[in-house]
Parts: sequence; structure tokens; C-alpha cells
Amino acid sequence: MKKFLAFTLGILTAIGGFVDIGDLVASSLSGARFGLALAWVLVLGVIGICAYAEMAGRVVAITKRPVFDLVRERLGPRVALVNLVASYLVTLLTLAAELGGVALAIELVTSVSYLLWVPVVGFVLWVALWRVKFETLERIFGLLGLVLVVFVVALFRLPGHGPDLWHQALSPVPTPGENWNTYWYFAVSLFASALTPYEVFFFSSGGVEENWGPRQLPEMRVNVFIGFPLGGGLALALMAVSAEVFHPLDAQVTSLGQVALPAALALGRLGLAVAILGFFAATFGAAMETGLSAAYVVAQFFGWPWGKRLQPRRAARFHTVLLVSVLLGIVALMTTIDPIQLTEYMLVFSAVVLPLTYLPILVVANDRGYLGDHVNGRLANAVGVIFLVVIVAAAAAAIPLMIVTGAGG
Amino acid sequence: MNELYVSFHLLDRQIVDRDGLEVGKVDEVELGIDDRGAPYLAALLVGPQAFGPRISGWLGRLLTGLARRLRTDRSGPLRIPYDLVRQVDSAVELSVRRDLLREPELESWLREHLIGRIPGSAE
Amino acid sequence: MWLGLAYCTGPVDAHGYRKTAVQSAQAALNAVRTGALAADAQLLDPYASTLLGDQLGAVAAAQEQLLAEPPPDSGTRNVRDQLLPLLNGSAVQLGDLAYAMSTGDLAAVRAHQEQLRRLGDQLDDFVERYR
Repeated sequence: MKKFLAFTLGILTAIGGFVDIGDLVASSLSGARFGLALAWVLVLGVIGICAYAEMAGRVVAITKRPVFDLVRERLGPRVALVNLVASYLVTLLTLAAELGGVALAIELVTSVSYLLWVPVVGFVLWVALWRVKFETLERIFGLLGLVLVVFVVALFRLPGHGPDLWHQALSPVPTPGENWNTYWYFAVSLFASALTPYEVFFFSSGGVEENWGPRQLPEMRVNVFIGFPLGGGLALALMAVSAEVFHPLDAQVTSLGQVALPAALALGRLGLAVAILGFFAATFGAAMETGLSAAYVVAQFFGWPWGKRLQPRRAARFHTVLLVSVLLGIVALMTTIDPIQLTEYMLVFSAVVLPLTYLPILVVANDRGYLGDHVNGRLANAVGVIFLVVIVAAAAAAIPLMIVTGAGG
Repeated sequence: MNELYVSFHLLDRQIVDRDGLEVGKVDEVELGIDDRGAPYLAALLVGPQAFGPRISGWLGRLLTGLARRLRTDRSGPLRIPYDLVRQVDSAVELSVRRDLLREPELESWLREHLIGRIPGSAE
Repeated sequence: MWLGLAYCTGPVDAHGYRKTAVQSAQAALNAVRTGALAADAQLLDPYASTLLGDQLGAVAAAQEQLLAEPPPDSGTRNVRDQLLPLLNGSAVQLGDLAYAMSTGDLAAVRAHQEQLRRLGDQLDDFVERYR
């Protein structure tokens, strides 16, 4: 019974923790522009992250070391250093975007400018990371993020256009008035939102923080194969309500407030409040994960002691990188760049860096020296290779598409 | 010759102490020549001064230069004699605790001047 | 390359101006549609003021974008003269809607919502015509 509860808690945490500002922005913007014509990209992205998270989780459970830790010895110091710089910068950008998301969510319930909230949120974030236990942080924000299910409820409460939506989902082409370039630009952003690099850094480092061993493999797989797709379902619900409300009016989504509007239309003030709470939980939780991930990758490259499981005194370099990263995130936002636009750029740059993140995972997961008999089976490799091809294609297309479409404008 | 191959095979591997705590990466290996004139693995070198030269180009020179400038004792990278290594599998495991080795200067400095000063750093 | 740069930073041609006008119109369209939708929903006060404030800001940005460059010929001058009143109207209606919602004046809310819907249709026509 106790094990069942633990399993359920794990799945629920995985579902609630899946969505972050990238998913919020990519899903609702795509829904408004293209209806559900890009739903297939979200499905594809979720399959990809499931496949690779399972590999990364397996590596951690067997070797007790996160994947990024193994990148340097597998790829050599020069390639790994390039990987580090790119991964760190993209993760930092993601951290800034998540912080911006938290500040925007607070602005929606206080009408005090988000800029004033940025330093406050940054400070609270750092204190939470300093004092609160890893597992507690994960549980609280994972479970709180579950309230985003309000968008699933809203989907059923809105005056339905069920057959229309379904039809859109089945015809993956640009809707009338949109061209293929914009279509693929949004497709790449959506894909990147499901596979943002920090997700695997955090997932595998978290495995060390929580002391996974081979006995945790079944639990890890349940979280990944049930939790992640359901979490992706929340993102899909966001796309669908946006498609229901904004798409028929030719209106585009450009602010976080608009993302919440369908919940208000369907469920009134309560639905709206729950939606904003969900935004807060999703973005604050993700801000913690990205902050930690930024410090994880630097420490793991240089071999420093790292992790919340150590006293800060015993991991001073790790905690310094964490502190500096949060500060840099705050500074980036104080340049008054629009957080939604920042998120869009973050997704494009994440797309470019994806091969650097995922190729090493595939390589390490096939290495008998690390995993013994637990190396990838034929299915895992088939899926892994197919996705790697897609990832490389997305990475190559990302910047050109951004330029040609003027970032989707 | 086999031993030389093994030495280089160790490069960039994580070093952990007897409690499993991270010590650093094998940034460089130090080879010695024994009485018969054959090379053997004398020590593992850890630190940016050892690592920097392995990166070619300006980035490597920057790393090495920065590291050299920031050190006050100019004693070079952390040197772990190879006889302190207990076993090698996915990481290089030492037979001693981390505390017995010289602590990297950056870590001490940051602990004294920054992290250690923040309340709650010992929890 | 210098010639290319010179080309890009020179005065806009008619095609470029129309493209800018369409972008402005689309931005205003998003704003008025959102405003009209918001009038139908039960909202929390801070949320309503933030949301409508954002939409008003978007219309102001659209106006600035349209007026940043002078229209290069009479055709584009015509385009500007069609769009500008729509943008101004949008700004006025959104602001009045925000006020009506904050004071709870339901009749005024309905009236401004209707105006916003009408402006939305006109902006939609504009975007379709000049896309």
C-alpha cells in the first residue's frame, strides 16, 4: 500500500512538474495561430523526452552518476567544453524566462509591474534553493502544478467545437492565411519546449540527489512513461483551449494574461485564479530546476562536489555558480525585455543546442562499460536514433526559420 | 605500453574519495620513468592549471592564465600520487578521505569569503 | 555587404510599408479581440486591469510602429489613412472598456464590447486586404 502511494505521488509530481514557461508559451501561441494543426509536434516531443529521459534515468540508476558527468570522459575535454558553454548559456536563458514567468503570474493577481517582482522572486528562489530540501521542493511544486488540469476542465466547459478541433489535429498543414515557414517555426519551438535541455540535466542529477539505484528503475520508468505523457496532455489542453478561443477570431496570443483567459471564460473567477496559481507553480518549480541545472552542469564538468545533498560549505563552488546564475537571470530580465519574447528566443536557442544534449545520452546509454547488461535494447536505440535525426533537423532549421519569419511575426 | 594506454584512458574521469564524495576530474596524468627506463603512472593531476593546456587555442590559454594568476601559493595543480587509488571503474576511487588532500584554492576562497558567510551554510 | 546594409536601412518602400501596416493591424486586432472576449468573462480586478493594460500597450506600440516611417507614396498614404482611425478607435474603446469594467457599469461594458467587435471586423478586413 505504501509503495502504491509512493508510486502515485511520483507520477503526480511528474505530471505537475512537466509544464514550464516554454510549454505555456509554445502551446498557447501555436493554438492561437494554427488551431490544433501542430498537435502532432507536441505528441512527437513527448515521445522524444520519454525515450531519452528513460535512458538518462537508467544511466543514473546504474552508474550513480548523471549523464553530463560522463560527457567529458566520453567526448573528450574540448567537445565537452563546447557542450558545457552552450548548455550553460541556454539553461541560463531558460532560468531567466522562468523567472520572468513567475513575475508575470504575480503581476496578474496584483497588477503591480512584473519588473518589481523579478528581484523579489529571484531572492525567494535562491533562499528556497538554499534552505529547502530537494525532495520537498520537487513534491510541493510538482503537486501544485497539477492544478493546470483546470485547462482540461475548461476545454470541456467551453462551447465546444469538438469536430472542428479534431479535424484540425488530423490535418497538419498551415491554416488559411499562414505559410509553411511560420508553421515550421512554431513546430520547432513546440518541439524544443518538450525537450528543453535542462529537463534531462535535472532529471539525471535529481536521480543522484535522491539516491537512485537499480531498484528504482521500475519507479523511474513509471514516472517517465505515465507521468510525462500526462504532463504533455496538460500542454495539449492549453493548445486546445487557445485553439477554441483565439484561433477562430484570428487573434494571436502575446501575453501570459491571454493564456489564462480561456480558463476565465469557461470557469469564471475561480477557474482564472486556479489557472494563475498553476502558472505560478509551473514557472517557479521550473525556475528551481533550471537554477540547479545551471550549477549542476558546471560542477559536473569540472568534477566539483555538487548537489543539495551536501552542506553548502562542502560545495562552495557549486553554490557560487547557483547564486551567480540566479543573479544573471535577474539582470537579464531587468533589461526590460518582454519575458514572452525572451521565452520564444530561449526555445529557438534550445532547439539549436538539442543535439549537444541528446547525442551524449544515446552514446552513454549504449556503453556496456557503464551499464553492463542495462544498455539500450533495439527499441530504445531505434527510437533514440530516429529522434536524433529529428533533433538535428530541428537544430539546423531553427535559426534560419527565426530569421525568415521574423520570430514568427 | 599497456600501462600508458591505461593512463590516458583515465583522463577526464571523475575522482571520488573513499566515501564517494567528488574530488575532481583527472585533468592530467603525470608519468614517471622507472629504473628500467619504462614509463609508469606516477600521479593524477587535478585543477585548471593541469586542464588548461589540454584545451587548444585561446580558451585553454585563458583558463591556464587565469588559474595561475589566481593562485597565491603558485604550487601547481593538486597532485594525487597513484598509490592512493584503490580501484578504477566508472570513477577513480581513492583509498583516502577528501579532507586529507589539499583543498582546491577556489573552493576554500569561496567558502571563506562568500558561501560560508551566508547563514545556514552548515546544514 | 555595405550596399546591402545601406539598402536595408534606407527609407521603406511601398511593399515594406504595407507589411508594417499589416503587422500593426494584426497587433491591434489581437488586442481588440482579446478585449471583447474579456468583457464576456468574470474576471479578478487585478487580472482585468493587467490584461487590458497589456492590450492597450500593444495598440500604442502598433500606432508607434505605423507612424515611425512616413508613407513613401500616395497608395501607402491611403493605407495609413485607413488604418490610423482604426488604431485610435481601438485605443479609445479598450481604455473605456477597462474603466467600465472597473466601475461595474454593465451597460457601458456591453456598448464598448460591441464597438470592439466592430473594430475587430474592420481590422480583420484590413489585414486580409493588404496581407
